[in-house]
Amino acid sequence: MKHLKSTILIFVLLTATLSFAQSGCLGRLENAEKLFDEGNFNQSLAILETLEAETTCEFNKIERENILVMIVRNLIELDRVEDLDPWYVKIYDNNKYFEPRTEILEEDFMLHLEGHSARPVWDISVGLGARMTFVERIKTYSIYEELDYLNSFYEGEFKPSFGISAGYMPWKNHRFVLSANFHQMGHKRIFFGYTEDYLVEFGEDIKALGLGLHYNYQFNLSDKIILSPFVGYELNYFTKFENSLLLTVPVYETNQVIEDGLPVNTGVTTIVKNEMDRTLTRIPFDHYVSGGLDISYRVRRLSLFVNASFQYGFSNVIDPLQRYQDKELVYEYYYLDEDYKLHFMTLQAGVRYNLKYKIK
Amino acid sequence: MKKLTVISVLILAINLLALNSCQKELLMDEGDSTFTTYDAFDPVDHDMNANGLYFMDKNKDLAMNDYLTIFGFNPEGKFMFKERNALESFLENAEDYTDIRLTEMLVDEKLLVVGDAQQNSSTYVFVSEIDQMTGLITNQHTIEVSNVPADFGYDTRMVKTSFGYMFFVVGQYGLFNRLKMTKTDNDFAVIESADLIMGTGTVILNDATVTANDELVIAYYRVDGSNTPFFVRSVNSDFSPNWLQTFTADYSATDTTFNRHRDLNFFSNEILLFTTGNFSGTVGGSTQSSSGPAFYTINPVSGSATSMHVVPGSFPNKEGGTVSFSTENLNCLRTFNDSELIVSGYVTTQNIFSGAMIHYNSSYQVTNSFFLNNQRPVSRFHFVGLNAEGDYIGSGYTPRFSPASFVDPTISGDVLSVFVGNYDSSGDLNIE
Repeated sequence: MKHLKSTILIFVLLTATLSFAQSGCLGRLENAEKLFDEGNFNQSLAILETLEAETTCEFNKIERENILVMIVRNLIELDRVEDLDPWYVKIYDNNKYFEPRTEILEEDFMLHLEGHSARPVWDISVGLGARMTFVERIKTYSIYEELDYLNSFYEGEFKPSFGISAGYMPWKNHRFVLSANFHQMGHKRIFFGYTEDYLVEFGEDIKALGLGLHYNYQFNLSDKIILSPFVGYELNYFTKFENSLLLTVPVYETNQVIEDGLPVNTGVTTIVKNEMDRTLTRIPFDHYVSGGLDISYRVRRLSLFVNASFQYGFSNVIDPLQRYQDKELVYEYYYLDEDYKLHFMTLQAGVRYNLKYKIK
Repeated sequence: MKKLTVISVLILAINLLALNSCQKELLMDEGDSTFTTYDAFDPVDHDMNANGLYFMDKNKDLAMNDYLTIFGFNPEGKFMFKERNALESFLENAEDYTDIRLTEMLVDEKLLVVGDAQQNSSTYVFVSEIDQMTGLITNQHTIEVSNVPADFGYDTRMVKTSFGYMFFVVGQYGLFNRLKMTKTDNDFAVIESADLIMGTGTVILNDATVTANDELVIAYYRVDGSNTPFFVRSVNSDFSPNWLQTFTADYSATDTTFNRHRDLNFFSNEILLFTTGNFSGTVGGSTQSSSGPAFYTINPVSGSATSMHVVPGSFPNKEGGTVSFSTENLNCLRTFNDSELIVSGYVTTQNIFSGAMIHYNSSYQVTNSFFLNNQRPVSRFHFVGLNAEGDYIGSGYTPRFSPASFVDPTISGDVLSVFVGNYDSSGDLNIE
């Protein structure tokens, strides 16, 4: 019980001492401001330099910014401009997004401030969005005489896209971004027959891991808004290709009966085949040139961004050695993959966090 | 200004990429697949020459008139034409004839559709020459092979000779079966003709060929009561009898197609008799027999059978082992360049219906064999040849858009899917 009382007494005394000391620090800061306003710059500067160096004073970020700004203003008034640089650096070190208050926008202060900045060097981003697939056919293979393979068309689908990236800005406005992505992609190939009642819908769902390296050039539209066109390279590693087939075909009358050159049609039948894992029939790596536009809005260290980009693939995705290996598709459904390249439009939105700044 | 230039260049580059992809769409090329498939009903008479692969399909119109569709593919197995004509189109002035029948399509230097018809009391063989690139009929000929009507059934055939062609009809004329032969030149102008008496009973012609000395060799049953010997007969080029060889072969009193499954070829200076089912005869001085596909070699001078080769049923699989199949439907034999021999057909095990082939050299040694190794039912597989690159050009058929059912066109009239593929030595489709 006696020990408890002693502990409480010591805690109260310590708190009171610290509180008194802090209030003393703030009082000295107020005094320095008063001296500055009275034109007593040397005394004001001396107090502020002592306060800035004093470790017992625990100033918050704003209070510390006030001290540093007041030091600079005193030095300007004392015409000691050769001593300004380290204090400007300290200002930006304290607050990467330092903006002078309007009441202290003296011309000299702003003049000397211009040569100093806090520029983000490293950042990380997380983005979520969607990817649209565009298929560029290279060569079409026709198997069955009744199906018009050549006039098939592709419908792309938006599928989810997720990415993380790290940005590095070695020079002002020039940023390099290394990104890792997980994409889902999808498209459907549709074609008909030379006569009615034929319909083929061949769907393809793709999953891929992507690795990209891009160069961004940043335009600072305002203090908070940055517009960045970018170009770069992207490598996709396809982890899965899954196909589905919907086939509608006419049913023909038996007994070898032909009318107007065609077997007599007695109806239609629909064949559905889903979940065909055909990953091994595709070339797993694909290369892309990528370009797009990124716009971001900064809130302190955090930025919100949206970007749109186009990935142009250069290689055939189909492995020619595997083209005829799926006997069921070839012999039963008369379907053969045509050679094609993939291109994508990717839209992502997310947040970017600035990790490290270069201050000068 | 600099910044605007940078933006403009970037946007232009992106647009060019997108535009490039659109332009390529217009430049797309229709690829030549090494595998194509077609609707057909009863594809028969597959064979190859230097210009490609040809076969014909028999079908009917709503009024049940007979039609013939001729398929043509180049030596790589790429589609050239599919031409359909009424049977009467192959015979000039068809309205003047009766009993018009299609007999075969011959693939030699020329592509010929051959049939026979009656006019008054005469029997004619008609020949339509088909353009090998387009499938169109270019020339038509009729050759009178008998000026008297047969009393009971007849078969006509034509074979290529060194001087042109030999046409013949086998039938019962009066008390006897007669072999009525007519020689023509290459333009189908008649040179001479003659008859040969072949005894009594019903003759069921199987096949015919010609030796290097233009001797006509025919294979046939002669049904006389319960006695059904199988003969191979040779006739000299001057129409005189040469030799007659007798064999014992399975005979069906009900299945007429079963009795026509023996083929004759002249290959590497020997006569090859290809047979399926039970067959036996004197080979090299002793009796030998076969119960499945086999070919017997016959000396063209003496008529003696010199060797017998049973078609094997064991095929290499992809895993390095072997698979054994029933060989009873390996019933297609074709010769190439007088030095290559290919037997093909379809094979079955418990759950596989597949196409298969065995490739022999001129010493009758197996140089390669494969089966298609797929679970897909292949109702029939007609393996027809080799092209100049050594690729196998195969053709067969499957049920149309149906995974399970097996289709036999001799029983069912369902539409089939006829396929033609360019295969490599292991039976995989070649990559374009």
